Amino acid sequence: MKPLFLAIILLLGIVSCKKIEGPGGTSAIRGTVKGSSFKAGRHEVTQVTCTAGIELEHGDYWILNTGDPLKQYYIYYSNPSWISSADPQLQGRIGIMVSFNYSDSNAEIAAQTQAAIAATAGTPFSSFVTNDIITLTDNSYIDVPDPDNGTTSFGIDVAMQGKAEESTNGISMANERVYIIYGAHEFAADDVRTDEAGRFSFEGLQKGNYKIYVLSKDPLNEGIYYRMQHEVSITASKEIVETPLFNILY
Amino acid sequence: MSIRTYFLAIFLPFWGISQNQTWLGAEINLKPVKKTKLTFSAQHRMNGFSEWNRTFLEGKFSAKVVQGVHVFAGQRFGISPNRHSSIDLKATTYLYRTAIGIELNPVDWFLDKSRFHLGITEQMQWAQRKFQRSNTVLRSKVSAKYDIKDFPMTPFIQWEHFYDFQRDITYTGAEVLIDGGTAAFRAFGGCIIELSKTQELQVSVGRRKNFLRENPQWILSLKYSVNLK
Repeated sequence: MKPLFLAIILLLGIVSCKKIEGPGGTSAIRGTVKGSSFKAGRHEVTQVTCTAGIELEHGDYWILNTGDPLKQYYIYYSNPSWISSADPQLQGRIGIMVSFNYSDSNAEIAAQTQAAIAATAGTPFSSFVTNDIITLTDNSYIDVPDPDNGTTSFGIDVAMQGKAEESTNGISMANERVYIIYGAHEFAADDVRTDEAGRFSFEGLQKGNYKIYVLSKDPLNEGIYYRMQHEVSITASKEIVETPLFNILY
Repeated sequence: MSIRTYFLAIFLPFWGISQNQTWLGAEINLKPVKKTKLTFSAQHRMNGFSEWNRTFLEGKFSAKVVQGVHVFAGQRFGISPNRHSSIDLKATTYLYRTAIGIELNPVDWFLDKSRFHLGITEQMQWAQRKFQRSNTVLRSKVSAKYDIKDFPMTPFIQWEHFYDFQRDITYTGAEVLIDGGTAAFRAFGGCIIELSKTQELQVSVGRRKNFLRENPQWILSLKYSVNLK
């Protein structure tokens, strides 16, 4: 009877030690995190505030640069009463002439300037006028050299700096945090960081199911993240399980 | 200040350091059949004097094979604070240990009833703990005690080596390598005080040096035993 009692105790001890997902094993889960990014470009926006016609003098012009290196402009002003040409004939630039009268108001000068610009074929920008302010939006996504008011007294301001598009694809994500969820748990119990090659390793794990995830940026909403998650199973001790590639946006 | 007070003033704060441990235990020894022994014991271990380390119950059966040779098997069930309570939301965790072994007493081979006992014990044990790596350990122990005639105290010493078959785990690029190695050395010295014909109190001080642990750990152990026929 007593040996039987002892045998039952021994058996209970062996079978009742339930190992669950988590630390305490000899297996490992490894993987690689790669990342891609896309940052949209921005058009350069320039605003020109015009003066009245009485303030313009013979030979006055201002300079407008664009994202197209072959299409750089200068805008000059010509009065019907002037005998000689008012064109400063700047080398390498396309001249746009604006006819005016000394009696023109600042708003009229702006409207006439915008009309002359709009009438020029093939300009790499769009324009519109509001009162005495002409707004010029470059078609390109680059940082355009700033315009200059030349010899006029116009106020010229770069309202928005142009910016090129930036993107990367499939680069190894170093120092990226990778999370592990044990079994049916809801939240991560541990995390590691990737090395310079984007590799990570969770070690000392027991048999069972695990979820591994990395946070990926939402490309449309700043500050919003979502999970890039893979589920893996360890079925044997001393096993190294490789997760599918994590390709995230950052 | 008396010598006793002076000793306590020095000793007590030192022992309160958590790297030292205090073990309190009790056991009942039965002899169900001739040449066999059944032991049920309980032990409460503390870091320092008060911080709970673990508590366990143990059953052990030993049988005499021939003169000076005993074999034994035992099972231990314990609870301890759960270091991974964030995972399973439980304050305590369980640990199990199964052990089998053989004890030799060479003195018994040459002397029939000697007061000197020399024990050489080899024990294989398999421990399982939740959230901790299971391990297989071979313990080799040499112990000696001498029953002084007409004196209630029996001095003893013992020295023990722990070999863990899964001590080192290396995660290489392609595989997991597991190597064994010395996990600890432990030594005890003390005496068994005979309280009555059937009751004893064992008082001892031990020293344990664990692998990769810089400082040794001191252990104060008190164990009360009842020996029933």
